[in-house]
Amino acid sequence: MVRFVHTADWQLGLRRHFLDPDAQARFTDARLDAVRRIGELAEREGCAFVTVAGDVFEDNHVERRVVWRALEAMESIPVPVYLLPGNHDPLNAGSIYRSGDFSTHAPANVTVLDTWEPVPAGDGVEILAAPWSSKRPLEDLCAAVIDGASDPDPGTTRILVAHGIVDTLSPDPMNPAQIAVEALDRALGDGRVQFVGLGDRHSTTEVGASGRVWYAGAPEATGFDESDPGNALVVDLHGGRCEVEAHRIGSWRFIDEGFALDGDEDVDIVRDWLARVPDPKRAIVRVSFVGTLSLRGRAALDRILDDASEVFGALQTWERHTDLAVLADDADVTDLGLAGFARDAVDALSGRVAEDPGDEAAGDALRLLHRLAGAGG
Amino acid sequence: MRIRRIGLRNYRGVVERDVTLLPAGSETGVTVVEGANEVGKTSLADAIWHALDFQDSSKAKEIAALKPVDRDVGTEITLELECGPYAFTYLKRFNKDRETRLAITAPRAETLTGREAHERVRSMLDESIDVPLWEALRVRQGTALSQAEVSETRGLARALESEAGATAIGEREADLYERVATEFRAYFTQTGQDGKELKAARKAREQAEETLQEVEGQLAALEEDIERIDRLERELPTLRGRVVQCERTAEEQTAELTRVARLEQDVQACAHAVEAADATAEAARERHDARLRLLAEVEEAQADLAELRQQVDDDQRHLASAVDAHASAQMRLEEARVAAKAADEVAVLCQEDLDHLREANELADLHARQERVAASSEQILELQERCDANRVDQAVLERLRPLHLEVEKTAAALSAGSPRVRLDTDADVTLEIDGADVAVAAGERVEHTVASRWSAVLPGLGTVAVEAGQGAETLAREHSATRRALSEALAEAGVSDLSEAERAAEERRDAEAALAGARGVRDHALDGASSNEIDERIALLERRTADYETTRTSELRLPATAEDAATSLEEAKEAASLAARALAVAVGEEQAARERVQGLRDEGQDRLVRREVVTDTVTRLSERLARERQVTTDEDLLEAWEEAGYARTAAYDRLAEARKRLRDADPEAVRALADNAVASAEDARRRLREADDDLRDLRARVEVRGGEGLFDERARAQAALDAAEAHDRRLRRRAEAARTLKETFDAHRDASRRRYVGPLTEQIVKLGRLVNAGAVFDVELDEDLRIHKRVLDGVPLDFDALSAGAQEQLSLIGRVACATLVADNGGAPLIIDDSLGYSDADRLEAMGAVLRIAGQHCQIIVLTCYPDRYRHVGGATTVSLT
Repeated sequence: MVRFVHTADWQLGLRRHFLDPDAQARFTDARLDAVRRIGELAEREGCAFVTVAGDVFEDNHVERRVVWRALEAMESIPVPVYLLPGNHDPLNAGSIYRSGDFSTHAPANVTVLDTWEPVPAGDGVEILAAPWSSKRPLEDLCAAVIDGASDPDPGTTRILVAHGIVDTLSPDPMNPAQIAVEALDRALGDGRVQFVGLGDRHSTTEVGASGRVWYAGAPEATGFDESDPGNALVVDLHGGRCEVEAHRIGSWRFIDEGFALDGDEDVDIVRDWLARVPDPKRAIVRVSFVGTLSLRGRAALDRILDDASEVFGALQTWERHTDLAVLADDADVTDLGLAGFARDAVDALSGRVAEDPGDEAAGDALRLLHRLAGAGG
Repeated sequence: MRIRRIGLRNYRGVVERDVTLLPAGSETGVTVVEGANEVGKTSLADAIWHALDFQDSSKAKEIAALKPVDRDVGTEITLELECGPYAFTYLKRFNKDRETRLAITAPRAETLTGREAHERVRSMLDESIDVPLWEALRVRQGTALSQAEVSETRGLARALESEAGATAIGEREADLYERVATEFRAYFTQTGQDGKELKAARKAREQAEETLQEVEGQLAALEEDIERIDRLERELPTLRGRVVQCERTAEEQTAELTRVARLEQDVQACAHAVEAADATAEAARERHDARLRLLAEVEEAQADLAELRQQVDDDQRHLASAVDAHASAQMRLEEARVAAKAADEVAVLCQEDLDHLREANELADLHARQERVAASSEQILELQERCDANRVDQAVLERLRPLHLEVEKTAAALSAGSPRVRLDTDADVTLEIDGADVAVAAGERVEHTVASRWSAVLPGLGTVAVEAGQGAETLAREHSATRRALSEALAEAGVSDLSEAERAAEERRDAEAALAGARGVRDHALDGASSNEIDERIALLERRTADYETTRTSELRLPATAEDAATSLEEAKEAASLAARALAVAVGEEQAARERVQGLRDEGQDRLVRREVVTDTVTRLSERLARERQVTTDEDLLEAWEEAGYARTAAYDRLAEARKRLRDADPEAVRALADNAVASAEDARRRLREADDDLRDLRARVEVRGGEGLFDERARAQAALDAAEAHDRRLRRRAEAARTLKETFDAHRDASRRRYVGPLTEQIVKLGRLVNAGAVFDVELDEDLRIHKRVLDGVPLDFDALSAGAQEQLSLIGRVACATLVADNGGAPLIIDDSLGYSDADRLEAMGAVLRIAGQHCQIIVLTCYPDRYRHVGGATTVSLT
């Protein structure tokens, strides 16, 4: 029997362009903190070791500083840590794991799974690894590793650690490297492996019906398209049973929110929503709007977004999903208190927007006018 | 605004001047400032702007030029102004002792100085009047024909807007327009091109793109290196295997090569054996041939000897007959020789006879010539004597003749030039004349020409003397001189007078001719020889002819004449010639016979010698043959030759066999394969080495580059690009907003401006009617509010096509119209510096009315040196400058 932490896709060194330098620093620190928290989890849960199923690093060419700090964080984990090279950090000639920096700084508890031979991981436990040696493998590494390995000694628990997409989740006949779930199930069925810990998919996901094939998901979220990131799995194999439990690790969230604005009063909904987002410093928010606003409403919305952007980890407007018409209503024009040709010009611009809400130039011109007139008091 | 007073000190040529333009209490009205040229009217107008526009510290040329040329003093301007709620006195001093001082009196008293004062004045003006409009309306000296540029001015627009019945344009709209324009200019240039910021944003974006591309390039290169390492690592075992395989092949091929080398040595050895067998066979053949040659030589020598013996016998016979022939030839030669000698002797005799006869002929001839010489010599002697006796030759005669003529001439001259004495006697008497007694018969006349002196003693009577005088004496002397010369010449010639001389000369000529004839005869007879020579020749010939006749002994008769002798000689010569030819023939035949004898003798001798030689040869060769045969018989030689031939054939067969073995081994192929195998091995080693080197280099490079954090660098570059793109996009969007707004504003402002045209046109027409009374007057304005056409009684005419007077009047009316329109709302004084110079009296009167009307609405200041032009302006205040 064995109890261990299955995690993957740490993506250390990940950068997000929409983060300003401060937020990026916090974001980077959060990933290292996640590593430490995984160590705490292992200790708390009495786990024998930690397996990281690929993409430990975002890229083989991240700054060396990232590597040093990562190794430092791993050193804090009180149990052995097994790192699998994935598609982001394959074991090619440029691999971090082959670099002088890594071998110099790697703490004693860190082992790179760079062989197809089973690696002993304590009494009666072996880890069979399917490391990526290039960014484009030409075969199902899992199947190859399983077929290539000798049968385990009776009573030995063998854990397969692999990385890549499985064919049931994303069938792509053109991808020769996709992992055949059927082969995994067969190996599980005939006892050649007892658990398959997968990486690559950043959302915690169970694969197949065996209950023994799991994507751990990224311990710290990396993007908007992830449904359940931020976890690490504690796997308990004993007797014929397998228990898998997800533990929350991550602190950052990616949030997409769309708003329908049908009047200036709806701007308040946006303001309220933003105010309710918890821990905004670690929230990366992407908002989109559809609907119509007056000049004043639009100005108010802009102010709200401006103010909020200071508070959030990142706050973006998703232009592609935004379709917000700005119309100068009578009140707008009256507010301006203009006469003569200036009034005529405002009317003309308003007319253009009313006729074609997509007339960006006219809308912008109106907003500019509003600003100029406002500034003029 | 109103200008109450202007004070100038040290302003250009003006030392000090103070002009009140608007009396206290008046708010409007026309002030005509009159004065002569140069008195400083224009300075008055300029000073207003100088004071308002320039700081006292200004270094502008225009300001520096205000300083009087002759004094180092500050230029001072004092203005007393009212505008809006303000009333103030403003002093400004430029160039020296600079100062600005402002004393505000209303709405509350305040004093300011320096820059603060300047700016306060500007702000008070800006607040209450439209300064650009004010400046545009000013009529400057010399600009009376041009219209004011008023379209951009705010005050007028506001006034017109109000006139047009539209909502009044306030500060707000004007300010807003300014802001819109400012916003537009923040992004775009005057011409609507991208401004600095937009360009910079685009540039920044492009640079960020470049940077990103560069980093991506480096990353791609790194990835490429990594892939190459992987590839090389996969290839290395293959390369190593290939090296081993190639080296094994090379070894095998080298062994094969050794075998071929041995076969080649075999061939070489067989070839040597063939050469040796060839040499042996050749030697045997040579020895056999030599024996055959020797046999042939012996036989040939014996045949030669037999032939020679036969020939020696023949030679003896031929020689005997040749000796006989020679003896008879010798006999014939002797006979011919005798005959030839006889013929020669006859010919000699005939020649001697001929010579003798010819000498005899010559002797006779010489005798005859000797006789002729003697005769002519005698004659010559006689004639010579005659010539020698007569001295008068032609030259002497030629000398005498002029002398004689000279005498005659002097005589004539004397007789003509001397006194003549003629004495006729009646009786015979003897007279002593010149000392000589002269008997004179009665009746005889004594005549005398007195050359010098003449005297006659007349017996009994005395002596008569006549003296010739000087001239006659000279003549007489000349005459006697000539006569003396003549007589001396005559004496020398041996004659008494000239006629005798002429006769003597003729005689001498005859004698000389005869002498020449006699000499010719003698010379002919001598024929170049002397007489003695002829005599000697005669003596010689006489002796020789006599001797020949006595000594000639031949029985042949001497011919009678030389001609006969010549004939005989010819015949004798012919005979001698024939005999000589016969002799020559005989000589030749004898020589030929002799030579033949000699030839045969020599030939026989040679043959005898050869017979001896050949006999020797036969002996020698026979002996040699016998000797050689004792060593080796002919049969032995033949056998040895045949055996050597067999041995040679065998050697050739062995060589062919060795060659075939070598050929079968295909040495070229073996060599090529061996070379190739060695080269392949070397190639494989080299490729392995290169792969190792490459791998080492690539690993080192990847180790270095991999640690450079290119991933982060790319992320940063990407972020920078995103930011630059976003900035560019945002900026562009803001710029487009500004452009749209500006264009919309412009479009509507232009539209509204077109609306202003109405009220301004109306005002101009109202004023213009005063000037064009009785006519239907109208104008058309363009969008810039300038008069574009004048329509008089329905006839439109472009402004530029109007007369100067009409242009001037319309320009002024336009200004007055503007000024009156804005007068109620921030109006300012209309300053007219010298206008209406082109207008006639009627028009001046009408313009006076126009100005008067205008003066009811605002302040009008007219500067002129022709106050008359403005005397029709009712109610005008006149200020005279002196």
